[in-house]
Amino acid sequence: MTKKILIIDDDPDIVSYLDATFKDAGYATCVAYHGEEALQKVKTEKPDLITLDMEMPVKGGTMFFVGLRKEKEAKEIPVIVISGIGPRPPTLKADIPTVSKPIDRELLLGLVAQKLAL
Amino acid sequence: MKETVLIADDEEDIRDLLGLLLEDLGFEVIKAGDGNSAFSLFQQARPSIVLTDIKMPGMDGIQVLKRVKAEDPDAEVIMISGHGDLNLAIESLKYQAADFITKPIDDALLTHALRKAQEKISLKRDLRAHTENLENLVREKSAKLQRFFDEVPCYVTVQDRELNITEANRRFREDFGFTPGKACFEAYKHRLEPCTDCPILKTFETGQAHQAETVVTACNGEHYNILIWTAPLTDSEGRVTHVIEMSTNITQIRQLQDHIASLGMMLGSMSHGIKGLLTALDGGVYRMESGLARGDLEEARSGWDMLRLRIERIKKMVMDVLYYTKSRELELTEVDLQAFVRDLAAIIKPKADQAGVPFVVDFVGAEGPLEADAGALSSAMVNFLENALDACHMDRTKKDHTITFSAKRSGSRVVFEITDNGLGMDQETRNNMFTLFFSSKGSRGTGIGLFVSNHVITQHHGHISVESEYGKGTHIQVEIPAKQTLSPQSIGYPKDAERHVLGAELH
Repeated sequence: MTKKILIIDDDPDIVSYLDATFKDAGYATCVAYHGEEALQKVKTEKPDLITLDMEMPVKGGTMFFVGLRKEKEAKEIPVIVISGIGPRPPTLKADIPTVSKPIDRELLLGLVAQKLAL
Repeated sequence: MKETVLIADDEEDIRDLLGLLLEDLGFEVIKAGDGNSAFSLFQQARPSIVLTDIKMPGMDGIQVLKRVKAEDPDAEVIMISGHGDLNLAIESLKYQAADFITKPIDDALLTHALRKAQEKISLKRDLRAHTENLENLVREKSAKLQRFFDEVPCYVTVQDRELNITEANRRFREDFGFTPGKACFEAYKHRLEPCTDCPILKTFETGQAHQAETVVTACNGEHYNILIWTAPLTDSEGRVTHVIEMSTNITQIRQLQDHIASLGMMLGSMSHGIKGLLTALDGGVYRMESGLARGDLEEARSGWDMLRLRIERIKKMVMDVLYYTKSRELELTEVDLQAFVRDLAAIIKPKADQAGVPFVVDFVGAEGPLEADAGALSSAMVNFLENALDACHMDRTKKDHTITFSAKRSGSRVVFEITDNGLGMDQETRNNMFTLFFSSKGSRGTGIGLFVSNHVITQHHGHISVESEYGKGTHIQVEIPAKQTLSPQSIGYPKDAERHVLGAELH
């Protein structure tokens, strides 16, 4: 079955870039533009993997992550942080990989495949 | 020059004899027959040597001696004594007589006495010339030192143990005024007590030079950053009685440092934006290439749109940086308000069309002249308008967006209004929107645009009010006087970055 990836980023252009990248690699996608919307999408879309931007309005990456951990069904969904800058948020455990912008596509797709294979 | 000798003797023969003798020796001779006429002749002719008989009718030789010496201590008086007044002649030496000779007059002795008197006179003259020379030299040197003291390109003061200023150079007096006995903390800082970590007190304590940096207030109300050096001044026994303080005005260096620091801050904050920007460029390139590879022109077109938008951003970012790094004054000209807003609309309209956002203008009542720096004001307004476009572009919660731009004259003021129903701003964004380097646009913003806009409007003595709510949209009203009667402020330094008034209200 096709694996579904939830893309979370407030910049529509970056979302469309990731969207095209994942679709071309054969994944299904869904998108959210901030943390709150993303938490809704987690419930309705039931993604297999999440890429997360940290700096967003309304609800940022850290708060989204906190919210995600509270959901029983969702808390095991693998997350990859895609971020421009900043220190690693304290809520992120060591096994959450971080990809920095600008994105190395090969590296990202490798990480995605690796996480989905587990 | 011939020396003049006054001969005073009541005997004519002796006067004539002495006269001949002295003329032979090369003197100018004047004569008097008694004490009184001798003294008045002395007063008139000012001879340098007086040769006087002791015994004379009326005023005697001793009297003449005393009066001449009182009148001119430099005049030399030689006494001539007869047989009976040797004691008087000796006594006359007490009253500063140069010498005495006895009658009958011995040529050799007289010549010797005259030579001695002459030597004394020329010695005295040399001494006086020398002393005058020294005095001139001292005067010259101290004037030079005073001039150095005054012209040293820093503030120099001398303080006593009570920190009262006892001396100050001209530059200090000009910038801070000088009342003898006023304390340095009072003159420099308008304080009532010594500053903490006073370098002068430290120097009194340790006898060493000390250094400090502080901000002081000059007479004209300007604040100066100064760098202070102190050094002890000691008395002959090596005790520190005063401290000399030398302060250099380093305000310009500090301003430059601030400017450089904020440039560093800018580059730091931009590196965040630039990373996002590069990511989006990658995205555009990727989508365009994969679109072209698949023959999917639709996809290629969206990739191209992304690229074009981002290239616009890079352009804008570079212009922001250039604008920020250039310090400039407003260049006021009178422009036609209607033409000005139409030009603005013409800049935004194609971009709005491109983004598919209807752009509605209302310029009814936008008549007459406007005095402004057209270039600066136009770029300030473009920033607001482009933000409105971005807010619509970023908003995914609804499909139909509109931007309204209106301008009208209201009394002596011009009011611009920009309304969009885009993303809107949350409280934090609204509070920080005019702060240098704050950007809510991630990869799209440098955090300079609105800072500059706000600065330009403030320079025009205008006012910005903002109403915005996240998810609903933003309404911005810019009001500036149609005529700039107040003096413009300079732009460039971010020193009044916190000073702007923000009229944000929640609805």
